[in-house]
Amino acid sequence: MVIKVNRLSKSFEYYKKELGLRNSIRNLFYREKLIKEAVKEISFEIEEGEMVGFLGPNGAGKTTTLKMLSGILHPTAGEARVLGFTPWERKKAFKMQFAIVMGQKNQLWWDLPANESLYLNKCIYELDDRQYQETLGELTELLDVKDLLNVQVRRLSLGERMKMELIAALIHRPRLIFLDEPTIGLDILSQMKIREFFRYYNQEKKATVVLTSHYMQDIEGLCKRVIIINEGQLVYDGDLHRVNDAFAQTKLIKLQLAAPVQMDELEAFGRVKSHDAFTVTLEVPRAEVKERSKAILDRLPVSDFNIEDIPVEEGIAQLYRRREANHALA
Amino acid sequence: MPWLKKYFKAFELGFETALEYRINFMISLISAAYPIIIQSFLWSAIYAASAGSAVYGYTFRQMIAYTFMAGLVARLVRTGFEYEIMDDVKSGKFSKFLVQPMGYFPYRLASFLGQKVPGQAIILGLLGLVLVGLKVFWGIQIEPVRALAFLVTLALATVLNFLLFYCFSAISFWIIEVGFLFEGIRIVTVLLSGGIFPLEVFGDRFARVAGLLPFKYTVNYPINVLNGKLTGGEALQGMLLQAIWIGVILLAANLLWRVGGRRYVAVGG
Repeated sequence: MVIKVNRLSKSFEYYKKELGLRNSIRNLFYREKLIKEAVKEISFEIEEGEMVGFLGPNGAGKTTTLKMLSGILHPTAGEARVLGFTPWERKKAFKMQFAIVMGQKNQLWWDLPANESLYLNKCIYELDDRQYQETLGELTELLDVKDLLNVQVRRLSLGERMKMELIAALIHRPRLIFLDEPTIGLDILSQMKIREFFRYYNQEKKATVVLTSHYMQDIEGLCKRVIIINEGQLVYDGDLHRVNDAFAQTKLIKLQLAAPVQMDELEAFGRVKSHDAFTVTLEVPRAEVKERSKAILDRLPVSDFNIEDIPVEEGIAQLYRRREANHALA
Repeated sequence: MPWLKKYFKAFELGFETALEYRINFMISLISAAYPIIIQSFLWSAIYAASAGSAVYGYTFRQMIAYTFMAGLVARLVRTGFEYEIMDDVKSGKFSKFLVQPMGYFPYRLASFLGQKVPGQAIILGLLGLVLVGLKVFWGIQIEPVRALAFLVTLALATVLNFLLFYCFSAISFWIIEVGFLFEGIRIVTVLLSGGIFPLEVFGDRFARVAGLLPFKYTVNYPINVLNGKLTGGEALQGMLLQAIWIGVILLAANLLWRVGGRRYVAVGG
């Protein structure tokens, strides 16, 4: 077991300020203290070598959780064991074995070439020269940035810089890696390269990876299992492709028509999700897929026919929305 | 000792960064000359108008010598990392030191010293020139022993000033934007340390109070070692006091950072 989290919670104090100058001045003398529960009693476990997607809408508590698991923040309540340590005790032996990469934060020295920062990390993690050269060679090769090592970091493009950040984070060959939106702001090719890299890295080194990202391709390309949180609470933990099973009792039937069909005629077969002249997507209850298909083929001028699951993204979006709906009711 | 190497590397990176910003340094040096020149004019006027030959126990030449030395020494021990710390805390960059096996305090100290060395070498060179000038034009002689003792006190003063500002920078945990506060603190401490005028100028009571504070040991005291105001015994006693202050401020820094560190919320992203 690499990570074991038990009823972990974190709340922050903050102050409310109403709009406008008058309230700003009022706030100087009196501030209403509020408490935001960023993470509420979440529990999960992650095994060695797993690659888990950690999902949730903005402000759901993903980063706060990662910060607790990496020892940056103390929780308000609950416990966690990571690599056998309590992270917020910040033991050196713990720090030597993991890495956290935040897409929006950088650790490289801005004014110096990347290899200076990398060498600093070599010293920080107390690596010997051979080990360092080996890892550096391998990582620069994989990410294709060998000739950029001597370029000042501030002159690198965002994608190149992110690759250097990854090398800096992995130079000590961590057993556990937290990736907080590693592909944010990158172009498609760089995203693909980084995904490919992590797929290889996870397979080769058996490193455990916890990944947050808003790009579904990142998650679908890398993670079998996802943990989804919303408003600080765990709402799903399991196989990525079964996200829909939990609640989606429907399937999609996609049709190519040989001749146009009236809308009301289509509605007899299921909920029309999209419709233009010759292509139609219908949502039908899972249990009735068979008989409805038969009826459609019998009665409509169908030239092509497909039955599909609701895309994972939609299931996840539903999980994100559900909470909001509950919230609106409450 | 692999654990020491990381701090040596931080020192080296600080050094390299200082070289990267050499033009900025040159400009800061020129701007440091400006107040020294203004004060020289000021003292010329004051001495011309006064009846006696000595003001506050300093002859005109001694006063000008002090002004030059104070300008350079204050620059020698001056910090600047407090703004970096403020930025680290404000932007959340401080987090990386919590997840890496490297202490923030020794890292800052090593990086600060590294950034300091190239500038210090140049300023010490200038100070050497000033001393040679004093000897050639005014016949003010500095004994080699004093110069040596001065270097020791200067090293201690640099560390002491580092610790003082390391304490001040902990304010970043309580107040988010502290840039102007740092500037205010810097002006007050320069004054209290004798970095502008000799402390005697402000009167006996002020000098006594300033004597109870650590700031005097960053500028005023090293200069007094150099210019012969202190006897050998007094100079040694001063070094001991420097060491004691370093110990005391180190404890204070430790406490402040422990309490402040708990307030750190690792904002953003």
